[in-house]
Amino acid sequence: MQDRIKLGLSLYSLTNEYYHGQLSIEDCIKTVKYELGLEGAEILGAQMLRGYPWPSDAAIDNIRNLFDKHGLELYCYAAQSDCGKRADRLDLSDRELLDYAIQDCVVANKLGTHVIRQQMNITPEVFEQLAPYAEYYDVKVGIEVHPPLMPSGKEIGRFIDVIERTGSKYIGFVPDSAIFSEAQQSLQLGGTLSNRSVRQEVQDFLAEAAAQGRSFDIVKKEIEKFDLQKQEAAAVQGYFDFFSFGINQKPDIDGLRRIMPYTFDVHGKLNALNEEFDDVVINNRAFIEVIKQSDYKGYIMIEYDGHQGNNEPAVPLIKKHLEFCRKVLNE
Amino acid sequence: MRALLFENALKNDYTGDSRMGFSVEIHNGYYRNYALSCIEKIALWIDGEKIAEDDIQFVYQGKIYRLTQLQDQYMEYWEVMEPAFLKVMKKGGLPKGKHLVKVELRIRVAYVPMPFTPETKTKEHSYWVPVYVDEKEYTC
Repeated sequence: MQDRIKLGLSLYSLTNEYYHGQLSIEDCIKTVKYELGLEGAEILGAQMLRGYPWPSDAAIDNIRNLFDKHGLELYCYAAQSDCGKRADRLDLSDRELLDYAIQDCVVANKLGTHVIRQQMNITPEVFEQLAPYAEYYDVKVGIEVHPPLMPSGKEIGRFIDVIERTGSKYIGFVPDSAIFSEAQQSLQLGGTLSNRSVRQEVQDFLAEAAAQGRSFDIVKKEIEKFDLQKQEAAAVQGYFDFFSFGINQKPDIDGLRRIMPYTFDVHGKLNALNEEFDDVVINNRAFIEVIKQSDYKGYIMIEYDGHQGNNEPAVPLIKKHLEFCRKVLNE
Repeated sequence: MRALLFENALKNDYTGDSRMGFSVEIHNGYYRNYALSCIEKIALWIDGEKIAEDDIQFVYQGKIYRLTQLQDQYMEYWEVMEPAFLKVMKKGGLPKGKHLVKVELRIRVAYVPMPFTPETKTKEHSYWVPVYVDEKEYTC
């Protein structure tokens, strides 16, 4: 394996095991280190860092000590910009988004990590204002590049403009391999819709449409025949807007190549395995090939999204996928 | 989905020796924490009867909120592994025996603005609002 590219795990991958009480945070860390044999991990602040986004020093020390105790590198702190948290208005202002993004830098610094995965909810203007704070706290802030946004799309292009214009080495990207999805994420349908009071016939319709790779625009039109109730419509819209990654889409290879020089961390997304132990709809092989061809030095952080979909136990599935990743890295 | 209701979630509440109401322990249902201001709706039914909103208080980490106050609590986050309690004032509490508890929780997922595509992304969004419902029988 090329030494400059390591494999790690986002602890988010163990969501089911964690929130059903089977694994404590320390158990998650031990699983990554000893059972999966990995050197580094990402922690999702909003899930495992008590008090997020303002964890106490005691809570931070607790996490830091657990990583140190087991010799696992805390490579990335994942932040989530809760731009819709206020009930009295729709979105946070740029000033508020910046305040929270700076706070995330403070926490990452205290945790001893140098990479943040930040979400696209912050604007390019905020991204630019954040750069000197990121430098001050010695943290590289990477915007997660995740569908429906694509690396070659206009939105990401505005972030690239900021990076190139400012020349800052502290703002960049964290691409997620879901941008290499080649089919609808039908496996996620169950987890996305079934608990949200969406009728079975609507779920069946969407699953069939996904399996057939039908045009997204046509599916959106056809679903009108179901006369969706308000909460069904909201759930389906959520599926379309957030979980649907385009049907029969080609991997955005050129787009990924374009952002690799500005990439601080990489997410290898996993929903379910095919026979080769790659994801059933994400072409992680092509994704890893682009990373190998770049000068990237860092982790491919595996992110298993099982709690949203198939609910298969994480560890055996991740072990198999790691075999696949090691094989591709060594080819 | 994570359950809203776990074991032993229903208890009568006492003031001194008098049974003055009951409490239902609930969890946040989601994979991560979120601000209390993201709770768009909480509804509670006992044995099929809906409890009036005004009779429910939401208790989190020892702080008590009326449901109408939750929308203002954008600095207070509900942790994944930390329970909250729906406290209902009802003289005499619940009679001994089995009771069916049903809870509905509707939350605004504040980091998932919609629509969120390059073509339609605008400055102002609506947000994804999943609805969680859980129902279990308890003996008290």
